[in-house]
Parts: sequence; C-alpha cells; structure tokens
Amino acid sequence: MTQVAPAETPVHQKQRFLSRYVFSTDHKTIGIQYYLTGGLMGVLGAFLAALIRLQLTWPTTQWNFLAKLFPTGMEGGFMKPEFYISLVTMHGTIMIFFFVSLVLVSGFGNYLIPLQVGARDMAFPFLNMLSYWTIVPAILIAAASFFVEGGAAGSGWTAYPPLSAVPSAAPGSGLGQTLWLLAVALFIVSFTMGSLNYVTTVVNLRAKGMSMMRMPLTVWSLLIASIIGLLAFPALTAAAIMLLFDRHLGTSFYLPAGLFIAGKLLSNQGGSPLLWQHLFWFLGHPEVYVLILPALGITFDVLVPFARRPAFGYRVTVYCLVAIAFLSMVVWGHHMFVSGMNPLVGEFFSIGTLLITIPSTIIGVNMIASLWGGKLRLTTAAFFAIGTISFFGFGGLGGLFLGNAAADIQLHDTAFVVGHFHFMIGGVTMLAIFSGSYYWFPKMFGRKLSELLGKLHFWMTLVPFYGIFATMHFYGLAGAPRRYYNLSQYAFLEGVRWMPIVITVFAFTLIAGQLLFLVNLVWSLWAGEKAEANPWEATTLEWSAPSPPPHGNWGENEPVVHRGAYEYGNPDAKEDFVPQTVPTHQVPAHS
Amino acid sequence: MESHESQSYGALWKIWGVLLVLTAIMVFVDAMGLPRVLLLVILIAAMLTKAFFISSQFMDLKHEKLAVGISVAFSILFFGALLFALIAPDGVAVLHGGR
Amino acid sequence: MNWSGGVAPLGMSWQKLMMWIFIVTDGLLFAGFLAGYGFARTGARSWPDQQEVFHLWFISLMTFVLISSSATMATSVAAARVADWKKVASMVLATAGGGVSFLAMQAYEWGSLIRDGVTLGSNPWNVPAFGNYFFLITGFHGTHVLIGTIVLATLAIRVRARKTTAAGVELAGLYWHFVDLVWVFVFTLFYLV
Repeated sequence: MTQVAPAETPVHQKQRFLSRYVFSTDHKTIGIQYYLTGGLMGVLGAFLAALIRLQLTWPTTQWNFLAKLFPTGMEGGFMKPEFYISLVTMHGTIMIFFFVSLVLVSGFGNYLIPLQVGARDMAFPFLNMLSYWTIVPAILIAAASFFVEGGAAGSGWTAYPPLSAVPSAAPGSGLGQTLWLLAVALFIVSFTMGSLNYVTTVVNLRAKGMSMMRMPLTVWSLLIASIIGLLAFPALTAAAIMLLFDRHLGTSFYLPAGLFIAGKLLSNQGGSPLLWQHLFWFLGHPEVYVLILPALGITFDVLVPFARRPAFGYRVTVYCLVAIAFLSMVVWGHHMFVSGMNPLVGEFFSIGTLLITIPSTIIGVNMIASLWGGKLRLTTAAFFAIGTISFFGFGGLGGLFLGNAAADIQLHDTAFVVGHFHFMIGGVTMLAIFSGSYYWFPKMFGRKLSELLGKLHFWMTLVPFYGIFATMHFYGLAGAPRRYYNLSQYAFLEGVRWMPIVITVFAFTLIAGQLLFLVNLVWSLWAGEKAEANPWEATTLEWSAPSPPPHGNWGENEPVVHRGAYEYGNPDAKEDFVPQTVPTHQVPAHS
Repeated sequence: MESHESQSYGALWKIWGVLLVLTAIMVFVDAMGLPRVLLLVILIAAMLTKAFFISSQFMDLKHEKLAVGISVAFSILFFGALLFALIAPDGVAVLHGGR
Repeated sequence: MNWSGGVAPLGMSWQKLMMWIFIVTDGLLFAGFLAGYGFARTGARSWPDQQEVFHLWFISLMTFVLISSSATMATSVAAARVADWKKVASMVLATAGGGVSFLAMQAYEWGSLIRDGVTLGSNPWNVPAFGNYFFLITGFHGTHVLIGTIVLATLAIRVRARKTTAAGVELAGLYWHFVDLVWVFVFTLFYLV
C-alpha cells in the first residue's frame, strides 16, 4: 500500500523540554520558532535601516554614541563608506532571507499547511526540525560577520564580482564575504529541506475530500512558491560555489583578465561578472515571488472571512498564481538591462516582465472583488489585508516603468527601484505578515491580540510606509542613485534635498509604530482576550481544531472535507458560513 | 509499495547493451571530424536518448504516472536549456567585445 | 490521478516523491554548472582539443563502468521487489564496487591532467576556464559518486541484516541512477562536444 501518512502517532506523549520545545518535530512549534527567529532578524534589519537613514540624511553629523557601538565603522562618529555599503548589503540580505522568508514562508507555511490541508503534521517532521536548526547557525554567522576583520560583506545582497570575488577588493570582501556566502548556503539548504516537506505534504497528505481546488489560497500560494524556490535556488548554489572557488582557489569563473585591484594586477583571465549576474538573478527574481506569493495567498485567506462572502474568482486566482510563477522564472534579465546585453534579449525579458502585470492585476482585482457586496467586519487583520491590496497596486505601477527596458536605463540603480521593491517585498509582505499575525494569533496561542493597539499599529505602518517609499520613487526620478554613501555633494539633487529628510522622519515613525506590535504581542500572550476554536467564524480547516491545536492536530479522527474553502453566504445554511468539514447531507455544498 | 510487474533481469541488461552501443557510437562519431553543427546534433540526440533510457527503464519512470516523468524532464531540461540559451548571447558578446 | 485527498495522487510514497524532487534540484545544480561552462565555451577564443587532452578510451571505460553499475543497481531493485535479498546484497555490492572503480579511474585521470600542467589557475593551452570547469564539474560529480558509494555500502550492510525494505533499495537506486544520468550529460558536453 502506498504510504500516505507520516509515521507519527497521534497520541500525545509526555516529552522532555528539549525535544518538545527546542528540537521539536511538531510543525506548529517549528512554525513559531521560525516566526520568532525571523521577527528578531527583522528587528536587526530595521536597526540597520535606521543607520542607513542617518547617513543618507545627515552625512556630516557626528554620532558619538554610534562610534561606541561601531568603533571601526563609525570611527570618530562619522560613518566610513565601507561600513555604509556593508549596512546596505546586510540590511538587504537579512530582510530578504532571514526576515520575510523566515516569517512568511517558513513560519506561516510550517504552521498552516498541515492544519489547512487536514494532515497531522508535515510529511517528514524530523527533516522539518533539521531545516529550522540549519537556519540558526546561518543567522549567527550572518550576524557574526559584522564583527570580523574588515566587517560584513559590502557587495550588496547581489554580491556582484569582482567586488565579491577578490578578497582584497574592499574591507568587507574578505572574511565578511566568506561568512555571507556560508550563511546564504545554509539558508538554501534549510529552505530546500522545508520546501521538500511543503510540496510532499500538499501532494500526498491532504485529508480525504480535500481536493486541490478546495485548498485555501494560502496553501496554493505556498505550494507554488516552494516549487519555484526549489527550481531556482540550485542556480544560486552553483553560482556561490563558483564564487567560493574564485575567492579561495584561484579560479576565474567570474574574473576577466586585466583586473587591477588593491594595487595589484590579478593573474585571472577568461571569466566574466556577467555569468554571476545571470545565475544570481535566475534565482533572484523568482525569489521575490517566493516572498510575495504567500503574502497574496494569506491576504485572500484574511479578506474572505471578514467580508463574509466567497473569494471572487478562486480558480482564476489559482491559474494566475501559476502563470506568475512560470513567468517569474523566465524574466530575470530585467535586472540586467544596463549590463550591455543584446537588445533583442532585452526585449524578450522586457515583454515577459510586462506580461506578469496581467495575472498580477487580475489577482488584485479578485482581491477587491472579494470585498464587493460583503458584510465587512473591519478587524485589524482585515485592515492590514486591505492595506496589502493598496501596496500591491501602487508598487506594481512602478514595475510597469522598470519592466520597460528603455525606461529602465534611466531608472536602474536609482531610488525609484528601491521604492518599488520595498513596496513589493517589504510592504505587501510585511502587511501580510501582520494581517496573518492578527488573524492566526488566536489559533496559535488561544488569545486575541488587542484591536486598539492593532488599529494604531496599522495606521502607524501604512501612512509612514507610503511616506517613505512613494517619496523614494520621486527621489529616484530626480536622479538620486542607490547605494551611494553621500548624496549631499551632488548639485543636481539641490531641488530635492527635502526628500531624504521626509523619508527619514517617516522611517523612524514606522519603526516606532512596530513597537506597538511588539508590546501587543507580549501583552496579549499573557493577558489577551481568550479565544475559542473559531473566533472569526471562518470556514477553513485550521479553525475546526482547538486553539491551540494539540500534537497531531485532530485528536482521534482526521477531518474529512466536503466542500470548498470559502463557503460564506450559503443560502441553504443556517449560519452565514459553512466549515469545510460539514457533510453535504447536512448542508448542500456550493463549492 | 507500488504494485506493478517486476522488471525481468534480462530486460535490464538489454538496456545496458543499448546504452553501451550508444556510447560507442558517440565516441566514434566524435573522432570522425564532422562539421560542428552536425556533430552537436548527433551527440545531443544520442545523449538525450541515453538519458531517456536510464530515466524511463532504470529509474522506472515508465511505470510511474506520466505527470511525474514530464514534470521531472521538463524542469531539468527546459530550465537548463533556457539558462544556457539566454546566457550564451552574452558569451558571444564577450568573445567579440571582451567585457 | 486521484487528487481528491486521502490518497497519493501520483501513486508514490512521500519518501519517493521527496527523492524525485531532490533529484530535480540536484539536477538543476549541475545544469547551473553546465550553463556556466556553456557560457565560458561560447565566449572562449580557443578551447583545448578533447581528443588530444583526454584519453577518451579511458573515459569511455569509466562510462562503461558507471553504466554497468546502474544496471547492477536496477537488478538489485528488481530483486528486492521479489525479496531475493541475497541477490540484492550481491548486486548492491557490485554497484558500490563500480562506484569505487569509477572514483579510482577519475582520480587517475585527475592525476594525469595535473601532471600535464592543468591546475585551477592555468594550463598549457592558456584557457584557465578549461581547468576551472573540468575540476569543478567532475569534482562535484565525483563527490556525488562518493556519497552514493557510502550510501550503498551502508545499504549492503543493512540488507545483510535484513533490515531494509524494497522501497529503501529503490530510493538508493534512484539516487545512483541520477548520478549516472549526470555523467551522461557531463561525458557528452565536456568530453565529446
């Protein structure tokens, strides 16, 4: 007989502290571990952003207290250029890999997938535990890289050679870059282990009656994100291995002849940085969709119960997610429009990129239409979900400009790009993290988060975020380059000197607003309003398990599914929602 | 365990023979000094044929659902070929311009 | 295919599904290396002539050994399905032996090239990319063969103790055939083209 279920006993046994809370193989514990770890890294990433803002806004100010924290990088209270670019590098690396991916994909993914498909746990719980414990050394290594000689890597999260390939090129190109590569390699291993579990669990372990088209959109989006991650990461692994060879073994995969670095003519020849760019972005572009697709899925899952009506265009949304995923794998060259590529190849990438707009817009419209005619319950989670649509739309507009190869010549490497991607992988994802947090906190901990603090948190996130990153679009249009250490010396930016100040004020407001969330989180864990199994009156499977669910999720009997994920407003039902487990002889199925 | 006909040992060693013949053909063709494009076509065709035999017969893909084989083959071959096809023009450019 | 839940739609255990997905990712890793190699060769003014540099008869012998080891592995999987554990053990050992032979021959090949002056940094034909990709790709392939050989040796011990299932042997077989498959591509694209 084909083995379908994992070899786990559903009966809860008394476990020692270490195996229950530390090396747990329970997907819910692992999910929370990922969530908290990622959250911590998000705080670190925000701190790095604050330092970046200080330098960009007030480059001539002497920051004595910072000199105490960073004696080498901020010697005498003034930021060194190499410290600045290592801040930019690590902010990007930490936020992308160790915050958003960890919280959204690993945290929510691990917690929700078995619960939403009706499984007792992931397919291979031991591997799942290993995937978390591979991430821990990765983040320790990334954090440690700040304190080694030369400081953290300074070649951007994109790690272009020769800056990343020649250890003597810049202070951060030495041990800092090696540690960066090690941390990213461990991340890839962890992510691969996790994705193997996700895909296998969704394919093989769905409960009886949980057909693919009855799955919540969160699961669809995580499944699709896992698949493109699995397909795209190996190219980066290959590229990183070649980079390590170039750095330490004298090869010339990326290094052409004639490089004169740190006063020496290098003996390398025959390589090209273009190869790194291609291999990196082959991963780099799908990576951002790995981040944003789960955010879109979660947004649907949150919007629908608070609109009390079915998701609009569920099937079409699924097809669009698949279309976006496929297209995302063939458009990586739009990050390289200024590399001097063959214009025909550039056109291919440009057309592909602009095509992504179509399924993306359809998804955005489906989100709005999912509110149409609904009986809105405007909870904090709903606010954040609606905010996600707003960020997705606005940020997407910028993508139209950047996807056009000709326009990108002007906009590449300006603050316009920074504004655009922060909306997409910072804004949409962050709001989805929050909407998911407010929505699923009761399931995870049996208590609700404070609505008052939550609504305040929402406004202190949405408004400043627009203030920062919408302004950045215009700053970039005015010509402000990204990754530059000091823009105050350029006369052509005279007319827009006020922009970085406005951005920084909003940035600190945004950071302060997040404190509200942290306070809410901690306070509610102990003193939040108690929540029953289904406080939001939602239909998906996780709400038919207790809050929080026990080990094995479902007690004695696994759930059987009889209807789709979003049956709200079924005219044959007494209540305005019908959970997925209600049999059809009690209430006829309408999905 | 999946229930299907067990592969007879003889059939497996027949495949072994086919693979060896293909390999021999490839090595001989390589030494013949054919025009470049023709050589590439023959070698790649033979390579893919060998790959097909190994995956469908040895790895038993022909007994699995068709979707599995197609997904595996498509994932590796399509994206591998795509990577090469879109990177190669830059290789040509490096050759001519030196970047 | 039954996608309605409660069954495995692809008729495959989760272990086998995971192994196939892993094979795809590992295959794409080699695809990344080979794409880089393709880039380097398209952009290279000249490339060493394989007929001169390699002992192609020797490499063909290596290919013969690996293909034969794949045949013995497939035989062991078939034997496991009919619970002929004696045959399983002997075939697994033969496969492992093939792996060891392949590695020894690869090491010999490396040694002879290094003696000819091929290093990671330079070679007599002044095309560093050749040495770079040769050692990278054959090195990674060889590492996969080594890991596979160790797995097979462990498997052989467990088969002797009758502690394995046919499914377990099949999983090991999938990995080994994958290693052979990679060699098919490497042999053609690096040694022949």
